[in-house]
Amino acid sequence: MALTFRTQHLKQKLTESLKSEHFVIHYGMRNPREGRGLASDGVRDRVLVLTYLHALESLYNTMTGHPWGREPPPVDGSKRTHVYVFGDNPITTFDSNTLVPEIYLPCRSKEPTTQSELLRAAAEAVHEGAHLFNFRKRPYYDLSTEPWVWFDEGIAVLMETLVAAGNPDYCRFLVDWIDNPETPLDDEEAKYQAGMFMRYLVKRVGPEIVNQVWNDSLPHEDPIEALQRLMPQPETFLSADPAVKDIFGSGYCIDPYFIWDHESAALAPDIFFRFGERAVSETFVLTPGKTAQLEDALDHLACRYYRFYLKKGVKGVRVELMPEEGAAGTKLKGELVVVTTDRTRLPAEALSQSGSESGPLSVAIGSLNPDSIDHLVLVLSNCGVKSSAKFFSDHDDVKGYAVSVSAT
Amino acid sequence: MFRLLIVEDMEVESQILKDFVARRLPEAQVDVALNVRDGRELLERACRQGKLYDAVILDFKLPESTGENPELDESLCEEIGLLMPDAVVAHLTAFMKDERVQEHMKVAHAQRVDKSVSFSKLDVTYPQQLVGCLRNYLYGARVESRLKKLIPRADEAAPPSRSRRDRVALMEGSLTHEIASLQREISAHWGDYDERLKVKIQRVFQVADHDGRVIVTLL
Repeated sequence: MALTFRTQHLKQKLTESLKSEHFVIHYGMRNPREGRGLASDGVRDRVLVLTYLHALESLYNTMTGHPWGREPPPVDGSKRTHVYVFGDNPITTFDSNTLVPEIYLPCRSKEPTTQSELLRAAAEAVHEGAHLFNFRKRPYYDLSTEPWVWFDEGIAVLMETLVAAGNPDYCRFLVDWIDNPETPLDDEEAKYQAGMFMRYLVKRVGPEIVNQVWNDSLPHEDPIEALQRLMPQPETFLSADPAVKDIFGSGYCIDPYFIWDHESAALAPDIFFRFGERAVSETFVLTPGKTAQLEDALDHLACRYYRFYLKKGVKGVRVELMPEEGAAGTKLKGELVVVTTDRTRLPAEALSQSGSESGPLSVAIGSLNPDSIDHLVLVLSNCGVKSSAKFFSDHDDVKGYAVSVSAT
Repeated sequence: MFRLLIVEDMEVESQILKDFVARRLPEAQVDVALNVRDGRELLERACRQGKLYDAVILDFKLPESTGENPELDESLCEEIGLLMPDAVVAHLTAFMKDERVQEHMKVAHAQRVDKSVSFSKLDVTYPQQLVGCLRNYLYGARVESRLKKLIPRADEAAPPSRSRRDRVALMEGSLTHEIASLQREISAHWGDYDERLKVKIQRVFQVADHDGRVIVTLL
């Protein structure tokens, strides 16, 4: 049979190797001292290979050490993980005979400078190395791995930030995280953005939770179910109940708005300076007696920000949220935060049902002094889920709602 | 996830089909219409929301609206052809030999023969055959589209020449989960693919039995 794409064929061309304690890297030269050059499947020199090797060993030490304490990845008789350097794309996959995981890393790069090339190389090696460690619990040939893809990618990006500290390469994943807060946390197209969620979890709860969810989840659980069950007391991972300050809606959705705030668990001045603040869906200027209205929709495990600037004379603000499907039992959660002129934030006020069951969720804040307030932000989150392990279930997606904000 | 529409005026019949689909195509989200008007509304809503149907199971004889007498109706099928040309249409009828039915299958589906099938309601095993056909079509179309996205040259049967680079993909960045997910999809649905598709997949992947389960690896 004709084979158009053959990694086995490419691997055979890699005649050079470099070993460390836990890895053996197979590569070939673009211009060897003797013999046929590998052209676009060969490396320029050994610097790239040494960079890979150093990054992989650093990752190995981190993941087997405290607090991660991971078991070493499965290996074959060589007692080392095989790493093949060719092509343009990093891939963690497994051997067709032994099913032992192996890594492919690119032999070339389109980065414009040597520095950015090597930074990217280190980041990619760490990233794929994290997949290698995660493979033990969820081998990629196992069908039950599917709902865990975004969590696996989140851990891999987190490891880039921890092992390759100071290496800004992971920032290439962030522009969509900044621009699209309304993208679900477990969205297939946004799986690298889960790295920001992991970073938040580690800061808020500690690294143990990430490890526990990966290692100690039950066979039928998806990551959200495992997060719910394993979240240490008194924390709750996900709840639309206005009385509950859950990690997702009241934490991960609100805190990144304050990415510049040293009090925020999502503090990331480097990201703020590079990309600015997260996208705000709509901004209103309120004058006394004015009511602003909007209609919008939100997918599961995502959020939107609405910003309100107050004109002089505004003493109070009332916000009402009416979910299309009714307020009773809604997975939509609204919280209003006052941001002062010195860029600090007051405690978030949750929107709740005060009247009849058919009435809206609302909150009113009085005694406001516009001179001391920079703005107010309404953070709307959808605490519903996609039942990712059961693809046929309805998702909590495109939940429509209307918001009314009146100033007095 | 696949989106399916069943347009069938017999409630018992549509429930049987829905149950079959739920068991054999668990990734499908199924909408049911009992008449032409409701069917048209669901088609238009799907277009408005940008969530087109992947397959439509369509009775030939349908009432225009509830309470009316069922009549042979080709208008819905024509509308599907216009609005969702990629959807597979499975016609159901108890009148396979009816001239109008035969004419419709010949004329309307002449250009879309690979995306249209008909089943006789008189055949007691038609729900199994129908869902089997949908599995074959839907899983096959999905894996082909993923294969093409990941490996644009997967269609090529010729071996790589010296002047051509035999790369895995032309995409940027890590392909770990793009490839792993495609491998799992092929493992899960290998039995649903036809021979032509299996050959195409085997140009890129090795498909082997490991202790009773299908394992897919890069060649």
